[in-house]
Amino acid sequence: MKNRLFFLLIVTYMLFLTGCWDVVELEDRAFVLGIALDKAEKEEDIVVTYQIALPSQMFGENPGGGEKVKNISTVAPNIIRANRQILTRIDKVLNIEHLQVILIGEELARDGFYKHIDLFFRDINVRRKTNVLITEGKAADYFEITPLTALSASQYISDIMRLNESRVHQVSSAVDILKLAISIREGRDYFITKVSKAEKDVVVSGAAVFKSNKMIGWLDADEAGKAKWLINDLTAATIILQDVNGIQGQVVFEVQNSRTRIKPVVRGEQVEFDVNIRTEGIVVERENVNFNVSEKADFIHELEESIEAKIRRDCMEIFEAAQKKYETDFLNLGHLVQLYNIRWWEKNEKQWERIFKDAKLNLNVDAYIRGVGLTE
Amino acid sequence: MDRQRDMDRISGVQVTALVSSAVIGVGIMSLPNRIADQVKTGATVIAIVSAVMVLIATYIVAFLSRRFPYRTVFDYGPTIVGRILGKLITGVLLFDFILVSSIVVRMFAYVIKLFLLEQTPIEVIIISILMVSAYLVQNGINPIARICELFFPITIIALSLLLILSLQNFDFKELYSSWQIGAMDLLKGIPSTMLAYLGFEVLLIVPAFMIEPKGVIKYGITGVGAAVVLYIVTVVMCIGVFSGDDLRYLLYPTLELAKTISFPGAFAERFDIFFAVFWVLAVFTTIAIYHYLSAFSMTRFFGLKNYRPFCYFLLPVIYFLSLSPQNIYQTRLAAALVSYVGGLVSFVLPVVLLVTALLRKKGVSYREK
Amino acid sequence: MIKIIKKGSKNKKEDPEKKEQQVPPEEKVSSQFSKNFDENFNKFKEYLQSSDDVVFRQFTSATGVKCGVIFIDGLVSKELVQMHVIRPLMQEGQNLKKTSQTENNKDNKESSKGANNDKKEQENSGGEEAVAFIIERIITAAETREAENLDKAMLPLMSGETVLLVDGYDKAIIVGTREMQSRGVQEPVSESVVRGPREGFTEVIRSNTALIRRRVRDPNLVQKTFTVGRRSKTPVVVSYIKGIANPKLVERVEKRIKEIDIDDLIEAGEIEQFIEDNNLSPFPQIQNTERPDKAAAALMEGRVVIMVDGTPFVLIMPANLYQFFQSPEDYYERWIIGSILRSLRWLGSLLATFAPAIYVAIISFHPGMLPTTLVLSVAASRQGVPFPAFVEALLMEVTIELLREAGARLPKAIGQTIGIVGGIIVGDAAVRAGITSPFMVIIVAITAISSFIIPSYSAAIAFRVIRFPIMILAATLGMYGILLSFIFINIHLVVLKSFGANYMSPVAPVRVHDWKDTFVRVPLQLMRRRPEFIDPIDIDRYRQDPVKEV
Repeated sequence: MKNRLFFLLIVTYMLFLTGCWDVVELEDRAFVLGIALDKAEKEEDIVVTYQIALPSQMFGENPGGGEKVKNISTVAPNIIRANRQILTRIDKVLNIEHLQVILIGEELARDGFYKHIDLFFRDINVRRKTNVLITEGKAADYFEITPLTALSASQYISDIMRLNESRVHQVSSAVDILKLAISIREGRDYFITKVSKAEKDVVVSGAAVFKSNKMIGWLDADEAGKAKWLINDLTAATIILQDVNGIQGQVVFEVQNSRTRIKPVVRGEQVEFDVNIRTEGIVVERENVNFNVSEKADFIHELEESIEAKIRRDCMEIFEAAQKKYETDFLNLGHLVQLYNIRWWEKNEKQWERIFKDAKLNLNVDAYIRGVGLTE
Repeated sequence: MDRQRDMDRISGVQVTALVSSAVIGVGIMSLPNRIADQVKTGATVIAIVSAVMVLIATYIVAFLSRRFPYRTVFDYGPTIVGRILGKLITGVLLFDFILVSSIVVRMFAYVIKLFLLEQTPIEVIIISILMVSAYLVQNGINPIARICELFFPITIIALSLLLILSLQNFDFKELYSSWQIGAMDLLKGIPSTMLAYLGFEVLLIVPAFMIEPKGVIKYGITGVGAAVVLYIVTVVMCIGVFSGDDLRYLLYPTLELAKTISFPGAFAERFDIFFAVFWVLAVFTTIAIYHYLSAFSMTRFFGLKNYRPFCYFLLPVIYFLSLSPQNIYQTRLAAALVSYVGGLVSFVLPVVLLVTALLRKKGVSYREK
Repeated sequence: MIKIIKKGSKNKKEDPEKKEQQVPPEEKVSSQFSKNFDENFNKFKEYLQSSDDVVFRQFTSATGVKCGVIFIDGLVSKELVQMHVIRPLMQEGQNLKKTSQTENNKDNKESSKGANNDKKEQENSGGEEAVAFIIERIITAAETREAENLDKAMLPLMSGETVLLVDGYDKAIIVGTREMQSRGVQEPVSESVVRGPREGFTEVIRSNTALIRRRVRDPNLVQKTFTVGRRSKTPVVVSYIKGIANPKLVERVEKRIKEIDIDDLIEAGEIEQFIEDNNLSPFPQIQNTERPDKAAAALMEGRVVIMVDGTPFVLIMPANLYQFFQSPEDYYERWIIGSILRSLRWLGSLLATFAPAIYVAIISFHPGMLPTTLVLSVAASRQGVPFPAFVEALLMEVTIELLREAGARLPKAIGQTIGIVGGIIVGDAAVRAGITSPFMVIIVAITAISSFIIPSYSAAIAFRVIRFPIMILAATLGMYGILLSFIFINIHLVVLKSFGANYMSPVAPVRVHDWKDTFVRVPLQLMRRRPEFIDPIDIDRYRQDPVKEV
């Protein structure tokens, strides 16, 4: 019995030795760190640019000399075709398991890029945390930027998102493949982080608004910040108050955390959003050195009220902008309505756009100044 | 015939591990998707209701087994309903086990191919897992039970880890709609999902090997209970992370769940591969158990004693069967077919047998003791 | 294949020779003693005179009876022979004659003494009494017994006892005179500990049994001798504590030992290979140790210990997988340290077994598993390496194994240096030459170091060996291959048995009580019971009075 088993084992083993079908050695792989999509001359084509890492340049014996990445572009009707074309030009196998970022050029965004991105949802190798950003101008240009502190433009941008998106409220919340997939598949409207060029580096702030999968406009840094106030929990934000209570100068309030709760209330065909925002933070700066911030309890109270007022204003502004200027529920409040009132939603989903325009926002903001730092 | 003294024996804890391992298998990958396919909302409710019904069915099967200690259904079946029908039952069970083995192997190989080994021929994957299964199954139920004992905690821990870690993406609000459901939807959704919980029918045969058959109900329910709890939590987490209506599109939500996890640092990127490792253990136990049951039922069908030759004989059978669906669509059809046969075996058959047994006063009642 | 030798006659004293029915050809010469001294003496001479170390000393007792001693120089204590055998006979043999006269019959039989017991019983009755008299009254040595024929006298003679022949008596008297040169008790070479006794077994079986007796002063400790090996006739002692060890286990062990049929037995390892359950498995099913404290502890658990003359290694059975990870230090230090060390060993062995395979799988199949910067860094370091990861790994692993084996042969001081220096130099040079990448060297180094962490050499080898098939599977099927091998190994371990005990117990089947000593070591106060998997008949360690058990 044991002998038979042994024999079987050996036979099976030999079966395996005949082929290692999936082996691709590490050095034969081209790691694609970023993909940029731009509009091409022909209507049905897109320009796909791959940012491929050159590991030996990055970590090799003499780093710093020469390019650390290689950017290759090709024109094709879709990404799959582009992949094939690239393979004919490069001596390695493309690997997108380490894709950091997907950049979409402004023009393509306005036309609608959603048909090209389905690939990334289906492919099992794409990381779900890959960021998607809309670029001002051509996306391919952004790969040309050599950042000082990162190994490649893709990692640079993705690291900004990873580290600083939560620290600066003008950086619109990260949109990763997962979120984008859900939004597109469910036919929702959304907004995607924007990245623009400065002289030698990039600036990530603001967002692009999408309606029916086409870009219809930009949110600038402030507006993106306001949107974040309204719908996100924040871990960092700053509020600058001017001339509080007659005292000249600015006072800056830094938010340490902020919690937003939105509850939609439906009445017939009317929708109202009850929003509760609760903010905590400290005062970090004041221009006018002639008074002590924490001396009078009243003063703190007034500061708080000013903060609350400002937040309310901001939120209302963005809300109304969504309603009137963009006529799009890019803040995805509709989904909240769906969650809380599934029956109502099923009946009225089709008219959501119209209903949204007449929706009301009830804001309730509580701000607490917990401290003033080390000095008065 | 089943009362041989030289049969290998298993303990109560091993029964728990066995049953649990049989249930937790391929189903866990796609369950949330299957539910979302059927209904728009109320997935959680369906999951829970199905779970409850499965537990009841488990109880029935366990109770039936306990009435006939040290005997498998092949033995007491004829006692209850006569020889001809008993033979029929054996045949149906045999048919079911072979089918389940094949479909599980197929789905397993397919996911592995999708995910770990794209270019490798699926035949290789199937042969390799079947070989290892044969190596285990040839030794009898006791080593299988021990392997289940070994792998079961590992699988549970890994799954729990997965579920806990995905809390970072979890949005509780997404669950609100999953509680509301209409009666029609409920009825529609339950059959297909209940069948993802299949596995407890092993209790028709396995308790015969127990040293102390009295505790079979307790051990069986615990095993199935653990499995269904895991399933329910998985469904909940999937809804919370992916939003209920998007689940329709994700064929393998559990896998996707693993993909969304990111650990700063080691293995940050492909946690899904890490998770897949443990999943393979869970599926392997399922495959081995059904393989064994197929061999065992075949032996009993032909009235023989030594199941080892059947263990090997079944290898090519399962191999070819698992390769017969040509694409994913056919695979799903096949899975549905198998689910219905399995449902028949697990839900209908035990009830019929139990009722008949009670009416005809067959078997041992513990109340008399 | 092992032939089954029929058991000897039912007259079982502790006479091992009775087992050997098949007599080596040379001994077919008649082996019965006669009553004639010269005949008997010459019988021995025929056999042995070509060896110069066999001493034949003939003398006359005080009463004028011809006597002779035969012994092997180097194996006996000449002092003992001289003072306690020859001298008493020469000087005090007066009594011999007198008593023989008083006891009638013997004097008449001055000539020969000795056919087999059965034939001349009446004639010999007097003779036996006379021999008894000699033994009781004249020989002042501590150990004596009789031998009726040449066969029975030969083994003791070869083992270092002295044969005393007296004219007129048909039996030989065997006097215990053993004394041999041996290494003396030293620190065990292969198993040194930081804290704990530094005594190790030696090659002399008697001193080994003594070392155990010192640690187990329980009168229930049984030490039974068997003889294994047709020509070598090596004494083998089976040791267990009656009342703790399961009689079925003891029976099994003894049975398997008796079934061994070989020419010579040099080392315990050979016994191990004959009696273990599955010799196709890389995993040892019997433990071996040089340490008496380990052996004594095993006996207290209800296990059986086998000692073989000529080797300091003793065997302990049954064994399970987890035992090979235990080191005596775990018990002598406090429990937290013990537990940490134990867990560390597990981690180490897992690393040692799977690390190269995982490296191969990740590099060749799934680079997505590593964080991006790491992957790029590894890719950079692999530029210029001509081999695929698998070949590279194989190369390096084989090199390390070569280095290790080589280092084992060298004298201690040089061996260690060569190992380290060799490793560093070879590794560095290989990286520079572009044959491997630095990461591979790290992995190999970790693997090598981790494999030293397993206390038992035999078990460590098992893990070292299975590393290679796992690597091969990893090279063909990636992570899936590693998984398959993991499952396969587990199946193998689960099915493996060691003398009836499950190899994977207490993890599978689950025996919760035994977990106290597997991956961690709980405080001694909580370890109240003996390991269940051995199935001892007395499971409680504390609060029992051993003597009463008897």
